Amino acid sequence: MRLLALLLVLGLALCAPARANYSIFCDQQSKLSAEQKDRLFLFAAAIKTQMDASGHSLAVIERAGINLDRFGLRYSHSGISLKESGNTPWSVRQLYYSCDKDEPLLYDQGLSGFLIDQDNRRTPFISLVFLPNDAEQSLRQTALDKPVALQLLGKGYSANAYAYSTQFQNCNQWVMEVLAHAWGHLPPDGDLRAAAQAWLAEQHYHPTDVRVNTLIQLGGMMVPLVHSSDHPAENRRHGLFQVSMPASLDAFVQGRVPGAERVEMCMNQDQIVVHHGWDLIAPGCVAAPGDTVLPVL
Amino acid sequence: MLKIKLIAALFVLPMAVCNASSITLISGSISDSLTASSDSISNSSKSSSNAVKTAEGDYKVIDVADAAGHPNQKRVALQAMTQGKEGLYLYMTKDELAQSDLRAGQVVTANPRPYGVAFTQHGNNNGTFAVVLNDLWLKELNPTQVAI
Repeated sequence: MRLLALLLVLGLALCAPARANYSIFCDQQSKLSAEQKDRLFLFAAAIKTQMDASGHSLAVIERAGINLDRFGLRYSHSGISLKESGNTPWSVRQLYYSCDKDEPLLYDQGLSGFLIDQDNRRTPFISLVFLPNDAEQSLRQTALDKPVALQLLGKGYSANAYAYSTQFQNCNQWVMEVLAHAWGHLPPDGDLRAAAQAWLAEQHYHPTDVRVNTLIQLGGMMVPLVHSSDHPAENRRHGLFQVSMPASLDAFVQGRVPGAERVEMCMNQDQIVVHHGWDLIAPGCVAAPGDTVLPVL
Repeated sequence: MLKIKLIAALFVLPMAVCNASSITLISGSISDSLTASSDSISNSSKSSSNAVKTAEGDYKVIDVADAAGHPNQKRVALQAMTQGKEGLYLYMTKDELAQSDLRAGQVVTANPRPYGVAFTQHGNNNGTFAVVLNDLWLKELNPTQVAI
């Protein structure tokens, strides 16, 4: 009961309509040492080498941004990496919530920027999904089509957006809706987001089930950028949030696109591990038989 | 206030699937915490691009001084220990310099990297004390908004 009271007090403190509410998300600072930067940039160089050697022009790319271990999830953020986009090679087109503008926007960001912008206390992991030519070309065309890409951008951001509602959107949901528009050959007019979600439902896309207890739900209600109003009432009662995450994105691609290939890379203290397959590298970035091991330098 | 933030973060972070801090974080990194910049190095001809390409091998620190026009920066003058090789100026924030404990008379090494140059200190277990990006890699850091 005391904890509940504390949460209510916190709710009042945090729900004041001020931009400071976003401090949990927006006021974080990256304090990388020169040693950490050197290693991350070397990791980025190794990733680019792999991508160049793949012979592909696009990859669905995912990074491990924050600690989701308690949900059994490694990856939190995804985007579409394009070898040629008018930006730098393998630049990532993605949705970010802009703290400066207080709205979700699409950005092109170089691969090293995409990589360096994550929790530097954790072992860096990256996932790349390469597609067969037809699927790759249609996705590339849609991702580079700015009017379509921007029409698929939702106006409201929620970190835990329900995958079958257009009320909010998170970064992974935007990627899913771009995939749907490309592979469903959907028309470029009307409500693009609704059409994309209808197509995903027809394809039996199942978002990631995130189960949380009442306490976490209550905490989530008190802070901005996390919402529950878009989720079905029945799900909320059971503490179930169905959210597009890199894990559900990968499962969808694996099931729907024969010939799609996944490469996972990570860097531990001594080496870079390269793994081919839909299963995950062991926690701590431990190489398994068949994995390629590269020196960091 | 800090305590409130931390307690709230316990509830929020598990559900925060997109890194909402990214834009602020990256733009802050360029000026504050990220030493990597083509403006961080130059040679006598004031060419930062050329200095990033040619910096290699051992250099002796011959001077550490305030950087003119940059109140938060120090200018480290480096003399090449290879005969005929041009010297360098390395620009670091005062905080970074304090962490590195770099002083005149010490020897440092410029190590070419795919992204530019990493500077390491001799006899310092911390190893790399500064990284400098070439122009292409520097461009990779800042997100560009997609707009029509």
